[in-house]
Amino acid sequence: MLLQVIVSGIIVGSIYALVALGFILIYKGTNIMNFAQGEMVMISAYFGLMYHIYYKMPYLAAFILTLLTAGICGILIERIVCRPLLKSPVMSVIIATIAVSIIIKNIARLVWGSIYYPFPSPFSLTPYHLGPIMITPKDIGTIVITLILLGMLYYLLQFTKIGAAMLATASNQKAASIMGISIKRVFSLTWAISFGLASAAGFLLAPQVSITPEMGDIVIVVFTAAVLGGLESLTGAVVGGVLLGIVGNLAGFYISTAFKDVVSFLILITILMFKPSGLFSRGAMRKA
Amino acid sequence: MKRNFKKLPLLFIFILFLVAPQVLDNYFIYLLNLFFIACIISMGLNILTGFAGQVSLGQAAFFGIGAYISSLCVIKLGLPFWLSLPLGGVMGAVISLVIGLPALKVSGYYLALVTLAFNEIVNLIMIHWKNMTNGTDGLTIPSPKLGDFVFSTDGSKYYIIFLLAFFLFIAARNILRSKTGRAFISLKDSEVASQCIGVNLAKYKIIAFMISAFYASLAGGLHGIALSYIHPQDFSLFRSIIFLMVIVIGGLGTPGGPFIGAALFTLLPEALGKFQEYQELIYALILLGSIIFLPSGLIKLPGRIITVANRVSPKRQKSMPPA
Repeated sequence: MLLQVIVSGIIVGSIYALVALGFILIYKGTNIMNFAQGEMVMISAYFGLMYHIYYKMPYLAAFILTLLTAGICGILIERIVCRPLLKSPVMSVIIATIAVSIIIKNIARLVWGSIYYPFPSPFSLTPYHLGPIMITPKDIGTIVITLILLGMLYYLLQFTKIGAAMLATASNQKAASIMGISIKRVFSLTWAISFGLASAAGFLLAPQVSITPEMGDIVIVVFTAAVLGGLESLTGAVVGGVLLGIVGNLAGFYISTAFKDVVSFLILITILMFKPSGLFSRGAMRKA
Repeated sequence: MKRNFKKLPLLFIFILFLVAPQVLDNYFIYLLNLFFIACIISMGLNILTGFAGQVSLGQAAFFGIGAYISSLCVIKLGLPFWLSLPLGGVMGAVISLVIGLPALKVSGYYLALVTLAFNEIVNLIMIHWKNMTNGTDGLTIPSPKLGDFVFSTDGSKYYIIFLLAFFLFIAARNILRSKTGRAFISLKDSEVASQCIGVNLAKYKIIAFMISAFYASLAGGLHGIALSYIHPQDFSLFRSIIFLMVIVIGGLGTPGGPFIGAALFTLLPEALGKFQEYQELIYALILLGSIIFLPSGLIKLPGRIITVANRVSPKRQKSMPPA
């Protein structure tokens, strides 16, 4: 049973990892902690529902269209909310992104109501038995899509000019702009990619849980995952996400489901208190 | 002699509010009660965030801790309200060490995350510790008594809430004018510089957290008696966001800001009437608009209008002497 809990933890964790990755991209790239990341996951699930069920598009087309929609939302939010606040104190940015998250959540509530919408998965649900573990094609699909997206992101950052521009901006904005990189365009792109990742996560999460406006509450688990990974490293975010998926599932299974959230909050506070630089960095850093 | 004259407007406001319940109807008194409670929290949070520069997304947790501790002392232990209210406040201040201590290590975004997690944990405890807090069924709170007199009407509760709020306002003003208050301001401006001139960072950060938690917890206790009922939802993360919003919209780090914000926060739900479902959306839109267009808060709005007017009409600009 333990093995089964761990495996399903990894599957949920891979979804967390996707959201955490987008979160870190924005944090590293633009120095903004985006509290609206979870709501993006939620609204994307609704977009997916709209494209896939109402407009009866095939799964793949709906998936791609959702990714694009989310990307455009990302660019809009960056342009309207975050760019005017570039030089504002941290607190204004925190409050602004929280305000965005409340707005998105309430739009979802007003448009779709607080009804649970089920979301079909294109993969079958009949499980394979691998020794003691049961795994469904749906779970395998989740992992495979996650891996494909991770691979694409890795390729983008390591082997393309755009990726190089993003990395350069993340490490030093001034130097990057002197080298002729358009910081504004990079920022827009970063938000678009980050929201694309969040929307992919929403698409994968939707069949696991039903879609509700409260789906965005996973953002706190994502914060914990990101902090666990050190808030600076992309690999850290992935490892943190998967780790948190496992720990959360273990706590939910062996203690109680109510305790699942408490565990991730406790991890968040403990890490920030004792090792704010994350689990995987050497030496404690003072974070501002 | 001159000093005494300065206190006149304050005295005037005090007397005005003192006689207010005699002329207003019950509903307005109830609103005023909520207004003063919001004022108490925002004064505390303004000290922490506006003056000492520490972001907190956990203020609703202290609000709740104060509400639950003071009402549980009355219900389970049979203590009088007059003892349990300050007890709730003190306990809140002590518990604030839990987030005050990590705040020594982290600031900015990280502090926001710590306080957010703290708020969620406290909220989950309120929901799940059923035999103590009665979970999501909420807790009904008896009215406070003084001898034979029962403070059961809004008018009688008004005097408790108003007098305490007034006292706390004077206290906050005096704190900010003292050495401690100036230490807070220096903290916000530059931690390094204030350390250089001998401000004990750790000490003053913790003091700021404790003061704000004490204020929020007292407000929580008052919230309990004003509504005669408390529910974990009153102390959710969303509430913390609202509290932060109150002081930001009002004008962060200004003495008058919290009152403007608190008035807006109390009146808006009433003004919306049957559009209650849009309440959160409207809050968020106001918040976003004020952050982007009016970062220094509503209190600076008149000044801002004048600047914009000057910029728009070149005539007035010409008539102004060159700087």
